[in-house]
Amino acid sequence: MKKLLSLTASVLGDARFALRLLARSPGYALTLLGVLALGIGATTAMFSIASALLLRPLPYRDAEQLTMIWKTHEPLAREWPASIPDFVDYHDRNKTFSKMAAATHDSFSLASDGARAEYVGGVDVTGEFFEVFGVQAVHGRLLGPADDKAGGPPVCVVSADLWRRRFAGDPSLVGRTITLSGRPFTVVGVVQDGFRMGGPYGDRIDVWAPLAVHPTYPEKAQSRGNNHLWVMGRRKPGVTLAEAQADMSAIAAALAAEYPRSNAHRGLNLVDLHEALVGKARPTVFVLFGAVALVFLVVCANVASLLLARGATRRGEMAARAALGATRARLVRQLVTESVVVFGVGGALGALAARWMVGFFADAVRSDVWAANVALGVDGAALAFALGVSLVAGVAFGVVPALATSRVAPQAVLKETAAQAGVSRAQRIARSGLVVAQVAVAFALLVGSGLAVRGFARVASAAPGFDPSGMVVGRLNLPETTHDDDAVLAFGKRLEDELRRSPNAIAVATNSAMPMVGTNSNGWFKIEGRNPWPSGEGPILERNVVSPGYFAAMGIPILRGREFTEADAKDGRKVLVISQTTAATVFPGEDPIGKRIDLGASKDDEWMEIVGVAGDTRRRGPASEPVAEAYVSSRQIPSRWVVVAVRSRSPEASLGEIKDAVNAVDPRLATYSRQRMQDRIDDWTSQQRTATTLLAAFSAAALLLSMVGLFGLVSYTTSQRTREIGLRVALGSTPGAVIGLVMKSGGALVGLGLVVGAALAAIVARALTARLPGVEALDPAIFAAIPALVGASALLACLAPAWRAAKIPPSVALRYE
Amino acid sequence: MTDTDDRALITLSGIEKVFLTDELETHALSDVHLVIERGDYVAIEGPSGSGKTTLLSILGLLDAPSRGRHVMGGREVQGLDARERARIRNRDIGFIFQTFNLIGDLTVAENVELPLRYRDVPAAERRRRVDSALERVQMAHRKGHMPSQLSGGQQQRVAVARAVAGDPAILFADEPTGALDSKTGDAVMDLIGELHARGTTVCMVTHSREYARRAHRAIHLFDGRVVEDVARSVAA
Ligand SMILES: Nc1ncnc2c1ncn2[C@@H]1O[C@H](COP(=O)(O)OP(=O)(O)OP(=O)(O)O)[C@@H](O)[C@H]1O
Ligand SMILES: [Mg+2]
Repeated sequence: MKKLLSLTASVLGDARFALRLLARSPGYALTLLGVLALGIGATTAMFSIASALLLRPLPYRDAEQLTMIWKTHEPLAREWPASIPDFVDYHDRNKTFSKMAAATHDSFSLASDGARAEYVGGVDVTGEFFEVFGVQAVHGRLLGPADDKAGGPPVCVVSADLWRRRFAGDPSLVGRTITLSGRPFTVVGVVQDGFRMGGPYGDRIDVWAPLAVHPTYPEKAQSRGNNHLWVMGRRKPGVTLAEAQADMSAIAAALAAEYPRSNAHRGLNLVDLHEALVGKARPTVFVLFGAVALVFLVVCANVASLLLARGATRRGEMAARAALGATRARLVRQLVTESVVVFGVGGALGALAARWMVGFFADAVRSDVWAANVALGVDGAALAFALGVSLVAGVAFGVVPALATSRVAPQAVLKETAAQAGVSRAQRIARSGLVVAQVAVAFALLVGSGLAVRGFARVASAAPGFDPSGMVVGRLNLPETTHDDDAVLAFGKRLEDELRRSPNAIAVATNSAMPMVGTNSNGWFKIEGRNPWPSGEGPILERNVVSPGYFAAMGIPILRGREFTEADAKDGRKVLVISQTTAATVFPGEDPIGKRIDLGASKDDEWMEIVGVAGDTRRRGPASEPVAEAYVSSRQIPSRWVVVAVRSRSPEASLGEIKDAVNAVDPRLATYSRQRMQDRIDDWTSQQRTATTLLAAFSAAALLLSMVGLFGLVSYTTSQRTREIGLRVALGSTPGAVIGLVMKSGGALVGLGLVVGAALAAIVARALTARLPGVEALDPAIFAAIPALVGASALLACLAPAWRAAKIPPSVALRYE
Repeated sequence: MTDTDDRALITLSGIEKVFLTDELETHALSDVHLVIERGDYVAIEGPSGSGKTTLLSILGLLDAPSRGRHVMGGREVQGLDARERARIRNRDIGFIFQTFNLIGDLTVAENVELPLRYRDVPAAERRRRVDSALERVQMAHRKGHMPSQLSGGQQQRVAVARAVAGDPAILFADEPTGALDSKTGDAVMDLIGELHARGTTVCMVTHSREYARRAHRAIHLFDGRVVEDVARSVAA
């Protein structure tokens, strides 16, 4: 005990001495702590994101019981919604779930008290929805099974966010009636802060209403083929995912036997809800965490070099301490304590830096953060992580400099040549090793980010198949409750005309499922004169309900035949345009023009004649491959989902004009997500862009650090060799030869670093290909360009010390210290 | 060209050397006039700080004078660039330093070979010259050793070998025995005497009266000026 106390006292003494040393040379301390703070800060920030998103359970009670229940249709789809009759059977027949609920998206325009209609995200949910998550109401009550009755009173729950934002946090909102898309709803409660859950896609939900009170419920409840519900459940305590899967698979098999027309080949795929929400983020988080860890290694090596360099100036102090009776072990302990102090202070600063880095880094996984509904920040776990990392690194990277610095060789003083060579040799070897390691890691990181940048460029530069220049889009939805089919048809035409009146409009078009905008509608089809595919087995066509002149307006080429005109009227011959991919896959080697297809859009057989073939578009983002598309005219088949696109001379003005035009044509309606088309396209790749940018920044930082390390070492060794270089010059070496000498010493380190780094780079490249789209591991351009970049940087780093060496006068050979 | 000019290897006229450090001017050499003839054996003497090393470094083209004329082998050298000065040092001048100045990371043979390398002498010729130079100082058996494995006297003998391996016209030595005991010092001085006897011009700084007496001419410096320049009658 006494021994422990005295040890503690002596370690504290060492720590105090370390702080005094730092305070004495502020420039050195600033460099050291700044580099450390950035390294530990970045690592801690990434840890915070990984822990909030992946490591920690969802912020709900017993979150491990939460399960996403996807309907499947092998091999086409593993993540499909279910129908109302399916859900009722899943709910009533299962033995493994304590609660099960379904949700379907419902867009609401919220009108209140004369204010202009505003779009709010909403879902229609079944009775146990809130019980699945186990959340509470802050005011009033939540929806329960009693609310979910067909013909019941229209009630809703709103988010705390909407309540505060739109209703100024007024508690009397509960009990009041608000108008959503023209229908009155009584607000029964406000759900707890932060709860925005609506389904697996992370939309920020503001309004929850009972599914059964929706006017279309009675009709949809009859149709097993109408799949539109996201099903989520809470497993009973102790039930594993596998047990629940077996239970639900048995139900799916029974349903397939009972309802072969709609349920043959349909299974169920149970996934942990957490995984369903954030699984997509894992590759990105893995890549960024890996990159940050590598940068941190470079930082540690860099700091160790600085400690070593510092140690070199303390040979006298070490000799004196040794002379006073300090053993080597005692000296090492002192030096390691100093390093731990340095890393500890750096770590504390790093934890502060992490606070703002988190928001920065999180953009790379923004949609997943939304989906999981988690709060990001540097919490206790992250602080503990920062502290732990600092201490471990402080010891690990303090030992090498300590061993090198504490090596005092008294006899060396007697022989000057030996002293020059010997004492600094341990130093030089240790520092060389650290520089080689830094160069190797920086090289691997640069290769990784180079590959990521090229991959991103490949993805981002893929042509969308239409011309997005100057184009703005707005989305809206025409409720069945207020607009019948004829009203939908009339609205579309009036809206187009209204928009065309603006002098800004070059072209106007609408599409129910505009490419890149994120709306889709698809289904099976029949070809006249061919046997239909067995139920649920044929290829799928994406359905687009487009306005006449759509292709010209969008800049999509018509490859054969013609596009829609106003002459294709409601009562006329039903016509269809297909895409190039459809023509190639469904009608290989045939002329599709004049062939007839039934899209199953209406209940009766309805043959539509193909009149044109259009170019392909990338519907699901720049990284996606074109799919088989079918287009019908909005004058013949109405669609309640409308995306309106305006090619404009002034996109900024047109964003407002879309809003005004909708309001002018029908004040009950509101558009949501009005955006430039190019922004929509960029959105698809924005997370990859952020991840790529971060990778590039990390590798640039690593390169910079390693080059600073190289510069420091070459400067140091050159200054150590002043006498030797002076002597060489005295003996006839030219300035050029001296520059060559210094460059060669730097070049050897960099060369070794590149060789070691190549192996690491290969591993990094392989890890990336599997995780980032568009990346090709063996990109010869990258593997040629990056070593050149490192070499050029190294040349630059060595230039100053080489230049200084070339200026060493030969007369130093005659001077003795 | 006159007879005297022909015998003069180095002529310094009106040489001044001023060091500027932190607003402080040090006149290390003032108005030095000096002629060193072929075959001379010169000892430079004077108290500490009198400018001996400075003079030697100017004579040896390690440093340039602040003012004055410096002629070597009939050629003005004070205005030459670093490259050309390096070439002259390498071909015509040999150096021996007080602290030997062997490069710790090179072997004995490599140290001796160094000036020959800078001169692009072919490898075989280099090897021959290194061997003969090391034999002359009786260090051939230590060719592969590192300097740290040698005694001080042995290191200085290697330094002498390095100085003469290139067959210089003139050999400069700055207190070559300063770091040696008297017995080893004697041996090194014997070696230098021998080199002179074979025709090398020697110019040496020494604090030792006794070793100075081995030279044929003594130049006394005081406060940066030549205060005495006496030729001793050559013994024998
Ligand atoms: N590089 C320099 N910068 C500034 N002053 C210098 C420099 N070299 C020499 N001096 C000064 O010039 C003067 C002559 O120095 P020098 O080294 O030539 O003396 P020295 O006669 O060789 O002395 P010692 O016998 O101690 O070696 C001294 O006052 C010295 O301080
Ligand atoms: Mg001197």
